[in-house]
Amino acid sequence: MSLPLEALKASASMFLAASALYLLYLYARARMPRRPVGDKLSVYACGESYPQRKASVSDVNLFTAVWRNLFISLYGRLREGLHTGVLSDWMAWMLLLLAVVLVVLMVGGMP
Amino acid sequence: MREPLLLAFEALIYPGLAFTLAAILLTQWYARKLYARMQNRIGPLHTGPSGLLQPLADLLKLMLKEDVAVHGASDRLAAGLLAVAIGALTSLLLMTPLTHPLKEILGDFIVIQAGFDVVLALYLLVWPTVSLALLGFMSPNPLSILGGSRVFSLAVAYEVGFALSLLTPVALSAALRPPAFSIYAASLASWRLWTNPLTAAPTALALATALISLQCKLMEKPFDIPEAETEIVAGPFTEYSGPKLALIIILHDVELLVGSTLIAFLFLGGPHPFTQTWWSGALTFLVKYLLVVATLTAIKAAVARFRVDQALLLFWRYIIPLSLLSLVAASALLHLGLM
Repeated sequence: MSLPLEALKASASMFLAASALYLLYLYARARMPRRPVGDKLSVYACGESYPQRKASVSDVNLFTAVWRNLFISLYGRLREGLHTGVLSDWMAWMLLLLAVVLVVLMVGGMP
Repeated sequence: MREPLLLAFEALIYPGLAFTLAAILLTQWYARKLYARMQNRIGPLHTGPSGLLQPLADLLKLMLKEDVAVHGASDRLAAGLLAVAIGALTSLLLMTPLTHPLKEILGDFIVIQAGFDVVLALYLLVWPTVSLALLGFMSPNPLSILGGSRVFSLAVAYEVGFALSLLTPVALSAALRPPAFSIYAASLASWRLWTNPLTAAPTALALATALISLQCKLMEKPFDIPEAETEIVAGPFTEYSGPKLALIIILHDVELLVGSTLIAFLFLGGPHPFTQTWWSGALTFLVKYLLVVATLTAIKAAVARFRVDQALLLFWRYIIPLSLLSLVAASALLHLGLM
């Protein structure tokens, strides 16, 4: 019952099931009545043909826009709440951070 | 020699691929019928008794259609990725007590269990999310790419919520049955969490957050943001049809099956309290499983779609802090010896 051995069993099971399913897909593909041709192979967006060179989205819109917009207000509120300039406030936040670290250590050190 | 054969049988027949395919068709029929009744419709009716064979007919129709891959899109790799994700989820079923009935039939069974195997389970659960997002990036359509990016944006929230929620009953069961932090051991011991008020409270909280996280993982309303049809057609699946679309539908339904099974075992006690005979236990588990599916379907029928930022705020403001709170409470109970 060692974890690496059980992971190996899970991998073998995953491989077998995936292979069977992929073979089923290849069988369905082989029985396909005809190969798709013509306009079916073109990309359409908003009802019009969309050339492949235009079909790219800026990485800013892909990954960071949502997070940036989401966390700007959170960052502003945190800054207003935390950044008071009072030394004892800073001390309180440091003690809170220490408490969080202790909780994480407690959870991580469980048998 | 017996053990590899038994493992192959479990991976391909029960509780692996063949059982999973049969179970998802029945689950899909049940969910569609229930969803239709909630919307004052009849649902599947004509194929088979009460439309029972409609999901099978839909699947066969898709499998026999043309396999279109637009210019610049990945063709067989997409199908391979989907097959691996489905394989990952079916192998997760070998970590649950669903393997038990094999003892009655074959006299033996293999269950994947070890201390801290919950890490392995969480890894297997991430496969569908990664596959669906990559599926969007493999297609040259900008709507597919946007859908794939939405999957990744949401995954950072719901995968954390779902993982923290699953860890609560697993951590609480660590003191009740060895090996610690094992999905199988936690499945067998989880019914005892409801007998102690101290453990029942964090378990109930984690159950609620797990259900909402699973709803988001399944991309069902109000979290169908990646495939929002009024905005981005079908998101990552826009350019997929025929057998590949059939595999996408299978993956979605297997995710529903595995997620609901895990919740029924880890939170609701599986076959307990009616474990006197095998059939009463199986029936009890089935009722709990159908109850979980019914709850998810009711949420889907009752609410409208969130915007992506609203969904992320919901998770980071409420779901993740609450699931973290239940996990910290579980850890404290374990350390203070109050179990």
